[in-house]
Amino acid sequence: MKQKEFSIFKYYRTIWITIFKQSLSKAGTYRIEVIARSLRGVFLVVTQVIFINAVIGGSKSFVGWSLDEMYLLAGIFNTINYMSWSLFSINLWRLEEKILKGEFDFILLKPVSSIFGASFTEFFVDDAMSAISGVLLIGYYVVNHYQEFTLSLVLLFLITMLSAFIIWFSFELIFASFDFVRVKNGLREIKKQITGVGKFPSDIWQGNMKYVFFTILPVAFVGSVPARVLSGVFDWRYAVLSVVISLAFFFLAKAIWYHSLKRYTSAG
Amino acid sequence: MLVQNPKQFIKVTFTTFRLFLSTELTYRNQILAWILADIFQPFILAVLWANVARNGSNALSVEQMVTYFFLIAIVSKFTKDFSDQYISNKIMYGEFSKYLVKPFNYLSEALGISMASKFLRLIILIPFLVVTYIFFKDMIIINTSSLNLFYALSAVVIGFIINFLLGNTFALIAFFIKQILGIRSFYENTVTFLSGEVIPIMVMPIWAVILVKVLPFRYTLSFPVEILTNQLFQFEIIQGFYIALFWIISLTIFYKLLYRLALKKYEAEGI
Repeated sequence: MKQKEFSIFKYYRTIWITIFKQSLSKAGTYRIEVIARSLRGVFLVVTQVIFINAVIGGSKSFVGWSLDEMYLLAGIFNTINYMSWSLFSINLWRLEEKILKGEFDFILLKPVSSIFGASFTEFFVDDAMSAISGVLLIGYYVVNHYQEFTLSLVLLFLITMLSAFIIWFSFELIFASFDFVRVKNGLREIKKQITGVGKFPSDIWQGNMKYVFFTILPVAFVGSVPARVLSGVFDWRYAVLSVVISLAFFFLAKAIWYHSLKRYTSAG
Repeated sequence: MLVQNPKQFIKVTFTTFRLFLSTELTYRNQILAWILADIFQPFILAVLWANVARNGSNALSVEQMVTYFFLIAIVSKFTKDFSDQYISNKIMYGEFSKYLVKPFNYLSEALGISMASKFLRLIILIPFLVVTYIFFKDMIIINTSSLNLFYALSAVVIGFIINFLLGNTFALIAFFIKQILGIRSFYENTVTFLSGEVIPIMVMPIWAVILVKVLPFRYTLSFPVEILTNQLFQFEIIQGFYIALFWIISLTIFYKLLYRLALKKYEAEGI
């Protein structure tokens, strides 16, 4: 059983590496795209620094977040957002187009799971370049606060980052699933706004709204929780919670995907 | 002159408006989703900046912040332009060739599509705006004097014209660079930041405020809102109009020159 699971993992890893290599050669053809996205990454850092400084203003903190922690939050969100775009978000965004043109049938015929086929068809190198903005901001925080880090803190942070990716993927999967039920539903625009909440400190919300962003729509785990874990404000319990929430959300997304897929009717 | 035959231009614009409207109404579900998404961002930003105001971090009050983003949600429906994506996609996929043989300017079609998109979103947004106003009317402070409203409406019209020219000038880049998705993202981020959609211009650092006042983006969104929220003196309003008109003339000239250059470069694909 373990050997079978390992060989399935090897199988998908081999496929993804092939996709990655093809995507790299495609990126080499459209170099201007890569350059434009890299410049955009740098521009994002500048605008976000201005934005955060405008929010903090003359105070030392904003709703309990210091300037460095705000940079860290922005960096984490940017990294997750743009790496997600490069890995799976664009592929799932184009699912609607594939369904309308009847191209999704070819994905279903391939010897891979439909989730993998729909999500990881291509790796977008140019979007990964925009993640530079996130790396720079996280790097700024690390350089200024590395004395405070312990091995356990860094491990907990990495666990929360992985959980954040899983939650983001689950959001994409859930909203993409509705394309099987009704195409051109516009729900992706709503998803974009919901996940965009993750770039702001969760402490701006009070009462029920805060509860919603930690549970039903767990966008707080996409930005605030990893940032708070690395800054030492949240302890290991939040890392455990992020794992539980991410796995629960992922299984829910998977269930919704397969349930919606039953209603898929080919256009081709 | 950008438009050779104004009567024909208007006729094609309204025909395209009706056609695009009927196409979009085929998929009605997405319209509601767009509206909800359009409300979400100003709502989130209003909550954020209201917290900032309560924090005492800058000069604007909670009421000014709530009013600002309420008006942003309305004004953006009038000034945003969606035709640049449509035109750049046509160029990228070789479908622009048909516009070269048609007996009308393609900008009339672009304008019709832009107006139809805005019309739909605005009509459905109205009930949400009314409900929002009822709930938050104590926090929304707008100067509704007739002179102010006249200035604001003029600014909205000028804002749309600038946005339309900017977008369609930008779309011409597709003649020179086939893949412009990355550049378009860069452009959209720039417009979002410099137009005041995310940060009120008044809370930016001084050097950024000076830069933003000189560039055209402010006049596409923030300028009408600043007029309505009494953030400007009379002379600042007049100054703003002069700068906006300068940009309309400059962008028109630049567009015509770039279009002439682009057509020499154009290689249609798929034919």
